[in-house]
Amino acid sequence: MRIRNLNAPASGLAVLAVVVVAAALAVPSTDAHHSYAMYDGTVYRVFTGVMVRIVPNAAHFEMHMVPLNAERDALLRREDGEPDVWVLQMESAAQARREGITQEAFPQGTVFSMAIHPRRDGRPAGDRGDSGLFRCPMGEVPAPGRHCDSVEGNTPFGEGVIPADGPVASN
Amino acid sequence: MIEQFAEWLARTSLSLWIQTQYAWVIPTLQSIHIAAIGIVLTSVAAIDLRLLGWAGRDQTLGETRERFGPWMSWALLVLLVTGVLMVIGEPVRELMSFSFRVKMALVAVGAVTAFAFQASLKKDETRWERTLADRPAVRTLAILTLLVWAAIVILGRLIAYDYVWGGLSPLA
Amino acid sequence: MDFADVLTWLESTRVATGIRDSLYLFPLIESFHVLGLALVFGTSIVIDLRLLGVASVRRPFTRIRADIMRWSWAAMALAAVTGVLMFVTSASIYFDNVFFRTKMVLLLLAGINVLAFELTAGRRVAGWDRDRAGPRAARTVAVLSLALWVSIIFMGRWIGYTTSEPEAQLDPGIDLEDLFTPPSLDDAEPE
Repeated sequence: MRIRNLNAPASGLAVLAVVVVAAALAVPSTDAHHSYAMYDGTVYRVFTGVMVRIVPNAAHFEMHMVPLNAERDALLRREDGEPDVWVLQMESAAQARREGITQEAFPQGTVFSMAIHPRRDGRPAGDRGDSGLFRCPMGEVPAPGRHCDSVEGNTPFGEGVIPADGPVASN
Repeated sequence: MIEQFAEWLARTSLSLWIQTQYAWVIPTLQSIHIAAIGIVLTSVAAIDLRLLGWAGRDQTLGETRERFGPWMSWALLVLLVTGVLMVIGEPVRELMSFSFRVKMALVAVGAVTAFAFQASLKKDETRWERTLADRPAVRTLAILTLLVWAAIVILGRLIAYDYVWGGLSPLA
Repeated sequence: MDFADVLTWLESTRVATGIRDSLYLFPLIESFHVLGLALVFGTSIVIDLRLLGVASVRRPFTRIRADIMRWSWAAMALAAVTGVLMFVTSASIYFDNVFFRTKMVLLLLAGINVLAFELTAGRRVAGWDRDRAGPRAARTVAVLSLALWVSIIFMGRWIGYTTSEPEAQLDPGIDLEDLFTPPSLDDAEPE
């Protein structure tokens, strides 16, 4: 170390750099997942519900879904009786298309399952993160509390599995 | 190790504050960042194009540096401050992105070149004006630095789309 | 054919579908849009600061304008072309977006501002070309121009965060009951 050869601000910066690096090494990493600031990357919420519409925005592709209740026999409504529409966001429209996620594959009413990192502000939207996406066979729903990946004859779109609901598991 | 640093940074109180105020902090920082890069880009272009003789020929090279050099430095400082805050606000998105890493390398090249060139110009203006500005190597360098700054802007926007790099993206 | 149909038609053009179907085109187009608008902003403030007497004060105004305007127009053309290309990929979403609309209005105002300059101080430019600062009308135009372009940058950035509307609604005419019939309860009585 030749800090004494540097001027005052430079040595201050050098000390700061050492402290920051030391602190970074001292704190163990518990979570190796994305942490997009608008979405809470530490949590997954898993949804099974019906397709309402696809918005093929070039910058971020969206699937709008009304979730099913835990018994899988009715759609969820908000307290005011309006449908509880969730906006499930993922990367570009082109990426989604490559995974086969199209209007044709997901007509209105299609039952499918996917997890999202929810928005931090609590509004009904989230980002797919590394979650898998599974479509239930036409006319079928999963057993209560289960998702489309558990239904025989399901169709996966893209990579990944349905993660556990709640804090993101460390790997 | 960069990933661990990013994860640690994401749990600092400043980062958490930016994350919870996300709806306005990040877009505001990005807007200021874009305005400042506009000033840097224009300043670098004004000096380089004058060196090449493609613009501003009613001014000497020294006058052009005096006019645009300080604006470039101050705008770079604004870029640094807003940039650091954006990294603190979204550490994984920035640090674990291929575009960001290449951009930082290019920023180092662009800034060092600009400062070295301006310092040398300040010291011996006549030599630059009379001989160096005509050398093919110098002219090539001027064009290259312009392209470097354009690439910096493009890579900056591509941070939001790191998947375009496929396997090169550190998170892929 | 009303305007909504025009927007839908724009989204269905080959240009729009081509960009949406490509992994790389939209990010690249957006990047060049930023490059273009950064240069528009940078070049226009050179002019504004000259009018205000803040920078380049010893250089005649018309010299600077002649020097910089062609670069400014080229940057403007780049930003406009890339902007239109981004717009057509999701025309109805952008058109509904309040920040997009505001940005378009501000761009229009920026154009009117230039026109106002030409009709006022611009007519008498020979009289103040070498002055340290422009006349009052020119300084007003310069301040407005600075404010407009900074606002345009902010509006543009906000569009990217607001095209996804978290409080989505069902399409009109769709009832929840039409969307889902529980398979096991086909014979159950309707509620």
